[in-house]
Amino acid sequence: MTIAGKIKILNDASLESLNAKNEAEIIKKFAKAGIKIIGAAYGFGWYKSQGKNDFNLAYTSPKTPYVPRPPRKTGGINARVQIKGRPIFVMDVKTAPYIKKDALTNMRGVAAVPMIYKNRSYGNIILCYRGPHQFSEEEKSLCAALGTGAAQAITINRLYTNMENLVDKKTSQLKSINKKLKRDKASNKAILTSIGEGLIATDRAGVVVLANPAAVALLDRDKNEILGKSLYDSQKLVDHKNQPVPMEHRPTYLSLKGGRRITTSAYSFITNSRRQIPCSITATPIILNDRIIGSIQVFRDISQEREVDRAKTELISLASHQLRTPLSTINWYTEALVKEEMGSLNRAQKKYLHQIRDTNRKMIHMIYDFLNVSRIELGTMTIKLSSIDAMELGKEVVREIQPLLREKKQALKEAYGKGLGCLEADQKILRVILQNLITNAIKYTPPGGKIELSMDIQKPGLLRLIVKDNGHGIPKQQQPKIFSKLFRADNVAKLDAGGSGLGLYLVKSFVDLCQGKISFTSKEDEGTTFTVTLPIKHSV
Amino acid sequence: MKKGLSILIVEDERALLQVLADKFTREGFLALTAADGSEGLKAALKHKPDIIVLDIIMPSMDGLQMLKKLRENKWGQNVPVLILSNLSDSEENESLLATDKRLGYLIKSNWGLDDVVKKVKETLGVLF
Repeated sequence: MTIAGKIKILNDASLESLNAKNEAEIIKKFAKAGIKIIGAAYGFGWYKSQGKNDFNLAYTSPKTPYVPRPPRKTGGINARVQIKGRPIFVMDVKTAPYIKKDALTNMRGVAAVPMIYKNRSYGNIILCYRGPHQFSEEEKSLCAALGTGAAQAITINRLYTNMENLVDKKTSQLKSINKKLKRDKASNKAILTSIGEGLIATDRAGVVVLANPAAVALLDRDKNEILGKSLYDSQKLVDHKNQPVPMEHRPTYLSLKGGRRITTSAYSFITNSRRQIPCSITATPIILNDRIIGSIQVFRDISQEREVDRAKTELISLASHQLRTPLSTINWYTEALVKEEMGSLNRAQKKYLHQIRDTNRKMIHMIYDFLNVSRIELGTMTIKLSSIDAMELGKEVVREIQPLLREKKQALKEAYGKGLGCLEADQKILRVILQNLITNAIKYTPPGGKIELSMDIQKPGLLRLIVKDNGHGIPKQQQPKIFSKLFRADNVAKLDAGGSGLGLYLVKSFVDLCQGKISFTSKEDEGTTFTVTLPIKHSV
Repeated sequence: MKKGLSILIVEDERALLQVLADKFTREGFLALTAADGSEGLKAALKHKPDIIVLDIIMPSMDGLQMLKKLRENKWGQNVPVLILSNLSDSEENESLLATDKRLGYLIKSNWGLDDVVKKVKETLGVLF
């Protein structure tokens, strides 16, 4: 046999291995090829299973005269070959020290060939001669190529099998994901269809990619007029003055720009049939891998809530109106008694009557707060400009509040700038703002504290009021809430039970109504300063 | 103070009427009272008081109707009238105030009794 013929036998074994059913079959093919190319009498293959050091018999050639015994884990020729990583050739086992002599009646020359490729071993192929054998260099080379070829074939087979398994696994995973997606889609569809809120999903540009039936019904439009179109066109929003809401104030736009959830009840949407429906809108950005890819808008018709709210406010307004006359009656009777116009009183009687009068006055103030709040909420509060002297008004309010200051032994310093004498402003509103800010400063400052009122024209057309105290201050975490209705700061809630919790809400509402600004700085136990600026006209 | 100044108080709230009448009596006025507009109009035309204090919201004939009828009368067109008002109602009466020079208003809920008396006296030009 020529060397080329021998190499072809090896190549054929490699090629046939590609179709092998398992690794034992590959070992069989190479063992057979090995017997052929070096003219051995018989041979067999030890297969090392993955991750273990045990050898299993993978193949025994038909002419093998005995059943090969499992190799020893150390010391034997199989273990040596594995450690060496190259074939071992034994001319005659009778002279080799590490082979058990008793097992070798039919074996004299031996080639032990490890199947190793890229540092991975798959076992050994043992090729035997019945008599002593002098291995030629060609035989040695062929054996080395045989071991490597067998190991390569097994490696390829293993990669291929792993790949197949992987593909199978991925396929079944994809199948189950697909099933889950289908299930999720069905339940999402059911949810979207059944909720009463309108739900619209848009892409980054505000183009609608999804609208549930409620959204379509609320907007009173054909689905095709919404899908694929800009939400800013299909959902017309107006503010409470019926002015279209500019794009940069729209909740969806804001959520897409700012990446945060926006909730508002300030707007109404216009249906296709030009009905105006007040609504609550929540717009939430959809964020994927830190990028805003779209937004979800949920909106709801709140006209019923509005009506209920209006009815409630009207009831409060009516009740407050009705309560004024009896409260005034009590006030006048008490006044006549306190002034001893109906006969003289002893000290205790006078003290009690003062209590009645003061409490009654508090009630009257509360009623005015209620009325003002209901006016704000019903939108019936209007600005009425008249010619006023702001300094006189300030002094008057301070005069009225004097009893409270005396009671708490507090000093109030007044400072008035120039040009306050003839302004065009709403006297009632200015009075409520001053009264509330000063009364609050008194209430939330300990006895003996200092309060400052200053008023000036900050610049032409802008009246500035500053009310400063060195009192309890507003806790930092509560500062964002102080203008909300019924708010009471924790640190002072115990100090005063008499407040309605409406004062600052009213002040803020009035300032907003006049398009003015209010701000404050406050530190707990150091005091609070409120600054209000109101646009005014200067009368000539 | 000149003797015999008379005041007519028209107010449906009995308690309020009483306290006002008592107060003006103590102040030396001859205080006349009426509980609604029609009663008030009759009393006004009969007794011709120096000044009238008039509530707006009343049964049978309200204050504004009574005022209208009063101003149609030759004597009545010049008698000073002070409307007993609640602050918030004053807006509605403002147009009236602007056209009727013999009209003023009193604010019930945040004026004291003495403030009411002061206003009445000012209107009458009574000085002490």
